[in-house]
Amino acid sequence: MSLSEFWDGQAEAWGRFARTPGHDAYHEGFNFPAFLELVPAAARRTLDLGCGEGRVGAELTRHGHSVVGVDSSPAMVAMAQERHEAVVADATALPFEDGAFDLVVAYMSVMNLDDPEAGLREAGRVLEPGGRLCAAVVHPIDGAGSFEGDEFVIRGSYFEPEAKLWESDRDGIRVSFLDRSLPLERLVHGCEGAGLLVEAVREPRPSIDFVAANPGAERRLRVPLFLHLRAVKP
Amino acid sequence: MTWEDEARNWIAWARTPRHDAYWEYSPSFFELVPTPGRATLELGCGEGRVARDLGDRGHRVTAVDSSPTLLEAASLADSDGEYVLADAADLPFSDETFDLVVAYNSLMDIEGMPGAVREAARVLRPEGHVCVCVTHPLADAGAFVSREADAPFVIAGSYFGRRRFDETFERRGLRMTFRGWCYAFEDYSRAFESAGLAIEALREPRQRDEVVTADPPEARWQRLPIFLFLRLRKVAHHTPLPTLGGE
Repeated sequence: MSLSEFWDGQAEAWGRFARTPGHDAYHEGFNFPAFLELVPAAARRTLDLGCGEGRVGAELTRHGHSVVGVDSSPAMVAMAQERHEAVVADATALPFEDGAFDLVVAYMSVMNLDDPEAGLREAGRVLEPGGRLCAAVVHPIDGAGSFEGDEFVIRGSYFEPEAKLWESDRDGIRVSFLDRSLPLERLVHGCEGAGLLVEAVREPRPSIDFVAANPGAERRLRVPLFLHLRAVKP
Repeated sequence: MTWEDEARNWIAWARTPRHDAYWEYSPSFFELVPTPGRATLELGCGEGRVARDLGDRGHRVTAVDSSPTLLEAASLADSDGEYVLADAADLPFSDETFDLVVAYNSLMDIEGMPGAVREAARVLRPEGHVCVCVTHPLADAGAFVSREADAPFVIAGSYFGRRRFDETFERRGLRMTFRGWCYAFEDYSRAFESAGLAIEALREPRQRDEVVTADPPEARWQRLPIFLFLRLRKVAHHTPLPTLGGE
């Protein structure tokens, strides 16, 4: 099943998952606020790569960004269009001119692309000189292993991580996830191939308040779950 | 002065052929190193094998170390290079002196890593490069439970936070104590960032097949990286970028 089919088939459930306040606590209280610390203030035009139902673009719009989203799932794009401009497109063939954007945001999408390197090359192409890419991904360490009790264990290979298929079923909202991850080398090599220089990397840790409200999150004070990077097109 | 205390041990350790991982990993590190310019600086040269290997590749090398015994050994072994006793966080060179700075397994041994990175950037010309090898932050965060090729790698403590390491190894009649610091990748990234250095290339080298053939348990290091290689470029200092968060 392609990435597009995987998400298109559960777009309605994903819409409720993403739009029910408090439901996606790790996004609201941990991942996204940390990610925003790397995202530049609004300028000319922002591309949201893998926009899904549009929650990232909606927030950037509130901060004054002029956002266009792309996603390969038509059902996702239809939802995103309720919040900002969005088009159906493959990340490896973006329907935009070279240098059309000064910011590309890819929030939890690059590692899931069928061809991440090609997606990053396209991101580099549509950026103007001086423009920036901000990406959030599953941390390569988390992708390589899992917790067994309090210990984090890598049994396979960090270099060739297996995708993790899991299901969230809470409060009548059931969504499947297929989390892939990329070793750091592939991620940075992809930026290199796209002509981008990595200027900042973050491995966010949850706040004490978040840990208090979310049992299990204390483990993320020891082992990173997300990785954020900002790259610039020189 | 930890490296001065270990100087004799280190000279024997580093100069015994194929005794440590340098022999296996350094060729792929040199693939990241730019072609020689006018002047190359090596930080924390020890007994000098990296400086000599750079010299063999055409680099005009100035090398610094804080251990007098190691520096003397390095200088005696190489009549071409210039060897200078200095603290990496306080280099006796003017701004923009070098085209390239190399720090091979030294940043994590230096007391103030961010200060050394800042000094490296200062003595580098604009658009110059810094090439770095450090112990991989993942390898520092945990351990394989055994020497088996498929042994699980376990993080029982924390990946985060600056932590001390102090470990003594005995191998084939040689003994060496390593003392330094472990960092998360973000710690290095923040040091580079505040020094005006951006990451141009990054490698997580795998143990080589021929080494694994000779010593099958080394296949562990084809599953997980033991070192991290980086090539950084000195970029023009911008005013801090306004972001949507609190930074």
